[in-house]
Amino acid sequence: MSSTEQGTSSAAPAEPTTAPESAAAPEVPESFYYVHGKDKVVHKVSAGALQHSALIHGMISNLGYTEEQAKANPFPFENIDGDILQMVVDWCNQHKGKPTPPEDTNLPKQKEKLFDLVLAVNYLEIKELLTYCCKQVAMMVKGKSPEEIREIWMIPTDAEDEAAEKEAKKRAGKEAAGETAAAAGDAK
Amino acid sequence: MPFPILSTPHVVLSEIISLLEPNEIVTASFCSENLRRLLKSHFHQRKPSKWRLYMVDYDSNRHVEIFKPIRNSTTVMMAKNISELAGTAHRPNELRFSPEFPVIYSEDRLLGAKMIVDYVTDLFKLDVYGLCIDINGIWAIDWINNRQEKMLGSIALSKNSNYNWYGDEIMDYALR
Repeated sequence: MSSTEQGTSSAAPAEPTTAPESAAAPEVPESFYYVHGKDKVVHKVSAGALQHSALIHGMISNLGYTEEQAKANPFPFENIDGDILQMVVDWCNQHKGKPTPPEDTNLPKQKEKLFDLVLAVNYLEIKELLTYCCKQVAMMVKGKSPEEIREIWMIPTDAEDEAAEKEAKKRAGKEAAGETAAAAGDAK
Repeated sequence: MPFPILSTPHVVLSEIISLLEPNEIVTASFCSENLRRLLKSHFHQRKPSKWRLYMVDYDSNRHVEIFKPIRNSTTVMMAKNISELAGTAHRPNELRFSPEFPVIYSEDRLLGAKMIVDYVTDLFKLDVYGLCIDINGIWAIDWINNRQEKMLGSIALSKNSNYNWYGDEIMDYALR
């Protein structure tokens, strides 16, 4: 990552008319932060890449970590699987400092991970990636019948919803009866 | 690969719904009563005020179209008359699904048209903005004016049997 940046800055003097200020300005070393998911594998991510995540960006701004402190205290995301966090980190790195195209070809391809990815992206507040993921979910039902949509989106039928509601009512009734009995026992 | 959409957070669900086309939303609303309620409440909270809903009723065409800004119109639901469909066996009020939109089969021309307009306007909480009708669809002007407070934004009158637009005489009579 840093080697790419050095390459860019060393190429800058060749085109002084296009970027005179960047050539003259002293190079600010990029800061890195560390994140880990459920698997405790630590990922090193540049601050530029992490800007995509409103959550992490907010944490960085509020904490004011130095690089050493950041290394010693990786941001823990225990609710995100390691492979999902890896996908998110990869996407953030690929789109670091770039305007995101309307159609993103760098989206993670594994559809079976899409649900976990959506939850993680929503939690990390990565707006653009969330929109891309949601587009994929919306595309799933293009030209499908309600029966097919029900299967794809795992929507219970009316009968299943009714049965679940009855079950929930039954359970709530039992719990309420249990609590009443316990309260009566305490009173005695 | 299935995606349990109802287990997603509210923000995600809203984002997905906002990315669906109007015809896909109408089709999805037939998945379950629960999903229909959810879609309805989504559109009641965030009324798609820039969408324009048209009722089309001329010749054998009876459908509801929605125009979105900078997009072509999308037919979202259609009504077909059973008596006009020779050789096909459809039950009254039977609902079928083409890959594009749901189609309801009715014995009564007016009833079919009313049913699809009622369903779509209720789902999206939209008033009918425009009418495309022939001489047999004049009834729709009064019907729409009685069912909504908002005035119709456009009326197009079509000559039966071909699609040349004309107004004047019949329109004058209808609007009198």
